[in-house]
Amino acid sequence: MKIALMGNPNVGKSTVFNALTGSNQQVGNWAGKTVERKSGLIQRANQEIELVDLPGTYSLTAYSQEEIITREYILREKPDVIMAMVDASNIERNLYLVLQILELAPRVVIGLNMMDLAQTAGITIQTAELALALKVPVVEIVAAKGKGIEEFLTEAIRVGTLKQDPLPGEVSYPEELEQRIQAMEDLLVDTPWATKYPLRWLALKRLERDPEIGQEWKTIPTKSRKSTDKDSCCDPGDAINYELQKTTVLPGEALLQAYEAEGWSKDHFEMAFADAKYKYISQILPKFRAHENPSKPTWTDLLDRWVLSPIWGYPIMFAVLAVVFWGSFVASAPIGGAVSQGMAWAANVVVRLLQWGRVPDFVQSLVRDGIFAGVGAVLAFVPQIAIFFAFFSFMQDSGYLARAAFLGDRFMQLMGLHGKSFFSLVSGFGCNVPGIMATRTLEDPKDRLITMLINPLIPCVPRLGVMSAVVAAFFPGSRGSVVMLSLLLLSMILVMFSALFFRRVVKQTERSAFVMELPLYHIPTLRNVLLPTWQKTYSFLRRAWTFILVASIVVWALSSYPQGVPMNATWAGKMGGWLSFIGGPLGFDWRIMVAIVFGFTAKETTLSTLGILYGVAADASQSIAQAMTGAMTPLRAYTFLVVYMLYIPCLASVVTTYKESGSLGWTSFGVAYNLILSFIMGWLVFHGGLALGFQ
Amino acid sequence: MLTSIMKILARKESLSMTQLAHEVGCSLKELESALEQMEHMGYIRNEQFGQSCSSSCGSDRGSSQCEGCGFASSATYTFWVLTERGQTIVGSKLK
Repeated sequence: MKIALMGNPNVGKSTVFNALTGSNQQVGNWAGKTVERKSGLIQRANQEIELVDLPGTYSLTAYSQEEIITREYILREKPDVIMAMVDASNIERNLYLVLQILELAPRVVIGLNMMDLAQTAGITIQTAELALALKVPVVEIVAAKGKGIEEFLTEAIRVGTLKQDPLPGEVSYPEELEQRIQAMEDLLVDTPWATKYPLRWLALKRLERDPEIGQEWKTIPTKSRKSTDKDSCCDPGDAINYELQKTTVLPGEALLQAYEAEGWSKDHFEMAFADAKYKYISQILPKFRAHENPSKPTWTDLLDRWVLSPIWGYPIMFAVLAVVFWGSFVASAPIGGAVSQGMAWAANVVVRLLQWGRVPDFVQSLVRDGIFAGVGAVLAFVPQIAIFFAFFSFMQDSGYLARAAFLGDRFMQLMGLHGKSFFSLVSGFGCNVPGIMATRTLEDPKDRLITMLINPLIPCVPRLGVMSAVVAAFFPGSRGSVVMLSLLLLSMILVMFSALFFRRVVKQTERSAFVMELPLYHIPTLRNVLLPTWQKTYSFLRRAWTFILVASIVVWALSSYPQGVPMNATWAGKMGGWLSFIGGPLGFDWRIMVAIVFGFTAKETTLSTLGILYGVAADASQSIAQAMTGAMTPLRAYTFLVVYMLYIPCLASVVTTYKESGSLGWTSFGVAYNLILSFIMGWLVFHGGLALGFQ
Repeated sequence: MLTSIMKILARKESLSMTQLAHEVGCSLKELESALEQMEHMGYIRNEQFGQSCSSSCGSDRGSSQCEGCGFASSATYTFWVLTERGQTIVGSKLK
């Protein structure tokens, strides 16, 4: 007797196989394949049984080596019985294969494994009802504990020795499919195929244009190949797997072409058959499976009803962000003040030491007006930025950030942006460079280009950090969170409209959807909040000590020479003067324009440049916030924030756009777009604010 | 069920797994099973989207001053998208 052991991967087949065959196993490869073949001999009641452990598969289509091997074995070797193993804790998934097996072979016994796991999960399965629904014997087993394995084999031997084939349950397909299956069966019944394969299964596979079946036809001697089709046609088969001879005439070809003309392609048939099987599973499932509290919603379900609601989701998102910004402003205010004072004190001490050591004046100036004013200006905001990072990590670990991203995509749907594009934009909130790189996952080059061009409009973490620092200086308390939210909202609106604009420029029309797996909500652990906070803060500090230090020295040099002249007559002052035609309409003085230019290299440099040009360290009694608020009005600060948020993120992001797009033209277009957009928005905000009476 | 899922995806709006299961009228487990089967058949694809820099990031000429990787979030998003084959069948009239 020959018995085949089948089932989905990880269903416990090997455990059963090892328990039944012990050391009496033969291990090798399937002929011409790299898939392992395991068989063993068993002696029961003076009968020698060959047990073959077939590769684990989810279905019996011809998509993988494992499936082809399994199917071929059943069709060619014709085992006396099939032992089909099913995972009781995931029976929905497993029954799909069982239904396919039943279409191939009538002698089947089901081994219902992992009953213990199913019970733990609150799932009860009525074995007798399952047997009744599928019209095949079912044996409960717990393979890991060796329970029921011998009974499984005994039942298989009994079925294998039946004189007549039993009549197992069959999937009933919708009427329009049944008619087509029947028509194909009528054509195939007199072909040599019909003597080799179950007729109904053959008809299904022919309607699906199964490439293996086409290949099989080639092996049948030409004389016996007579097709009942009157039209002589050839089937190109599946070009990926096989190239059939054009002269090979497959039975049913004319019928298939007629169906295709009606809109029934092979994919339509395949989808319809699979769909019918899933519908059948859904219909029979309640007959034998009970689940304790199956419809009881979890906390995640309950929260998601509100958080993902198209009506309430957005107000909740803005409320969460408002709390984040408010919390980071309020919590950081006392620490930020202390750090600023500490920096001023340290600058004072170091300069006194330098004076005591009679260090040359220009070195003293470099340390005080360059390094302390520049790097110190950035460092003064580290507590604020760290607290913001902590809130960000909290949102991520709690599971809310994924929901916010999901909601954001629904927002983007209005502009027809590709579903996957949004995840590249979400990356941009971390850093625009990986955000631009993430567009590689988009297959369509137009989608890629659009996503690359709008990515710089997303404020990255360093930009958000600096923005929140400036906001805290000019709009203290709860006003700050309102200002930050208004800036984020502006960014989102501009992303949407830019996407719409770019879609017209690159003539992109299609959008595709996705189904997202959202994590469960949970209370974040301290480690999962503090570790990413530290990593981000460390990155910020590292940039301060490397990149910003160099930039500070350059800005100090430009603003100190030629010596003995007022600052607006230095090289930096002259540079700012040249740019006044841009800064003037925005209400910016030359110092802000120089800071913006230096911000091209990295956004934090803007802060250090402002620190130097506003002469923070020259007057040790005042912090960067005090120096800036003394020199700018809130309206000018808000205009500065808008321009700062929208013009290019940094030089690295421009280079990355060039590398990823491979086009200097599109890169230049993107830079020009950002600069013009930031200027227009800044002008609108400044003059709109003046018209409304703001200072 | 599979056809219903494809028809919903054809609407070109993004959904969470729970929302899709609710619309199709099945359990989350049944939906997962159906999606896995559709993936196996080549109509949809499971993708994980992590935010990481390329191996060359920070080491090549263009991005040597970037150092932005430290700000990249470690969040990973898992989602199902239509493959080209899936797009084709969605574009045609589903039975």
